[in-house]
Amino acid sequence: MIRWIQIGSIAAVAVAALLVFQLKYRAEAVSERVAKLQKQVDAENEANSLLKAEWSYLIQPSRIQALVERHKERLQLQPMDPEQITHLDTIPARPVGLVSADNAPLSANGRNTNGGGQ
Amino acid sequence: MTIQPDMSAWRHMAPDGRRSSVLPSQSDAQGRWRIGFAMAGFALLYGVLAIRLVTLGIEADARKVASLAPVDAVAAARPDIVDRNGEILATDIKTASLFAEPRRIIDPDEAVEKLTSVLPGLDAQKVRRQLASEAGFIWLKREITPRQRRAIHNLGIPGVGFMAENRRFYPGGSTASHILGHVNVDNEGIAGIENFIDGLGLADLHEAGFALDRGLEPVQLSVDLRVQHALRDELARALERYTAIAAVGVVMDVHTGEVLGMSSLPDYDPNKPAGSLDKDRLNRASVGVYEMGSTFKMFTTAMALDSGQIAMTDSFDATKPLRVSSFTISDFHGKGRWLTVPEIFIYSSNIGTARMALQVGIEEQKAFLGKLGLLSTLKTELPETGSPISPAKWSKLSSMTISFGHGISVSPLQTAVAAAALVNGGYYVPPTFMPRSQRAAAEKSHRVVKTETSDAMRSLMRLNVQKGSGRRADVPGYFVGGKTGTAEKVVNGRYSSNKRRNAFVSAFPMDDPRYLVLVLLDEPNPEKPGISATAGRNAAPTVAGIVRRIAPMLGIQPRLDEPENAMTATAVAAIQ
Repeated sequence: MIRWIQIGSIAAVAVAALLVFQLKYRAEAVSERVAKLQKQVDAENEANSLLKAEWSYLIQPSRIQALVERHKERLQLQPMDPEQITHLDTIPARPVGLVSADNAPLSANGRNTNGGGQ
Repeated sequence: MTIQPDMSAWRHMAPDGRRSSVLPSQSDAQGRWRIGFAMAGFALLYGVLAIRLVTLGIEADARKVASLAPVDAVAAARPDIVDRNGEILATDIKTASLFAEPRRIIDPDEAVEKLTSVLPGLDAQKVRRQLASEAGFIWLKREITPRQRRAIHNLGIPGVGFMAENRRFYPGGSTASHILGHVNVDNEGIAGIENFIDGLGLADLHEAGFALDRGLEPVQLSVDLRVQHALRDELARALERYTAIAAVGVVMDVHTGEVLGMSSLPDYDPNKPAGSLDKDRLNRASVGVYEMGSTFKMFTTAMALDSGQIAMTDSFDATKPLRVSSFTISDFHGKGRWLTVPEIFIYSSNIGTARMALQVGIEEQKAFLGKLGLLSTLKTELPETGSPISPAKWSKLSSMTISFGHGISVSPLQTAVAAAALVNGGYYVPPTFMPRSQRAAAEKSHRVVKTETSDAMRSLMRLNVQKGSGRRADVPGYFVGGKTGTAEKVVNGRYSSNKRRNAFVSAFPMDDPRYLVLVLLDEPNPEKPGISATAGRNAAPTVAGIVRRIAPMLGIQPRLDEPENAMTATAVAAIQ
């Protein structure tokens, strides 16, 4: 009887030790992964901030202005005039039944989104 | 061992007659006790071992994790600076710097040969000498590109390594240089908002050794990058067109005191801060103090109307120059007749304005300008600020000259803030470079003139653009109103008649002003020979150019019909 208990407890100790060590190695592997991922996150963040800096350099108004000035004839661009800005209310309504072929898909699309909204 | 005598003593104490029968049970009990004792001892031992085992199991291998952690940056990290729309104005970029530990270098010649293959600019002789030395640490090259870093890494030279460094980068270059300021090589803010951020506690963190890499919240400014660019661009054009030596511009929200744009040309590129040392490139908008000339007539007129002593329809004698002691005050465009208040304003009559100031009184004038913050140093987030220069003794003559902006020097930003108080309904709102809500602004502001006075000033400023010296500042649809100022510069202690400092202070839309635009041009020349170089000819059209560009960005709806109001009608009626 005692022998069985002894054998049983020795086996239990062995299993417990095995599990503990396995757990330890797993935890180590996980923490290694965490550190690796953290490093990767840092690298990504760094790359991200570098890209952001580059993007903000690319969209600088001064740069855009220089580009526009160079290509304005080709693209037919000119500074906006205050008279070109107006309220939607002041635009006369479009006559009924005057739907051109170009506008048809646009209005169909508009109906769809309206339907989805309801 | 120590227990043994006790136990035998206990045994001897047992009754003799029961010895034979008791003896085996006695030894049995003794044995059990001993076993129990040994078991407890071993259990304790194993318990300790088990606990130690568990703690060892839980503890991570510190060395292994540490080797994977990122190397701390050398230069301290700084928060990004963004504009009011979140566009980046200043950011940190990580760069690698190459260092060597000469003691650990095996073959200096080979190392130099390999390094120069990637970095041709390296001084081979000098580096060879350095690497052959017994120094512990030397910088080989600061701030190398990622590609160079990879190439050197692949060369695998022992004793050569990289350290990540933060470098401040301003994508806009000189666009907002005077607002942002710049940093030194250790990434410490030494001017502008950069310096202000350090003052908020960042410097203390760095001092304590926290080179925080993550989690620094970006600092948002009230500046609008688009407005700032448009302002600077228009100023640069004016500088070129009128061959002026300097140009200053300020755009601010009249209700919240937020500065949306501030530029002073010539400026510098904060990416190369050495340029800021040039005295010519100082921030004229907040550091420079100047005699603002006729723009001060706004303040005198507002004071006169607000005192209740002078009404819009009152007239003053401007028939002949005004003599005070040895000075003569005369008008640039003399009308040679009695002028009403609106006429004095739109014809910019020095004589009339001086008479108005005299009627109100010297003490009142001093108190009024003090309320507008024109006599004390303006405090903003920027560390760079100029103190106004006003006369120590406020005589009758100084009162008269100050009424039209001579004999007192204030910064352009200060003038803008004071002018905003006249058009926003009468509240002095301290300026800020940080975003501020209307409610927060209301808490910080105080009333300086009555609402009616503010209404009157709006009408006068609008009239000045419609009929007076500011005609060229008008932009259809936005109802610009403003006041010109053409101040003669002091050269060798005398006012020069051909060196001028021209200003235009304006707000739009004038029926309910939202934004104020101030432009100052230093020594502008006529665009074409033969025409004059007054503020109406150069500062005013510059303002028009700025308003035309920024008003749509700021969401101001252009209207084609001029709004009517009773105050304007009164003012118009008073003009012959």
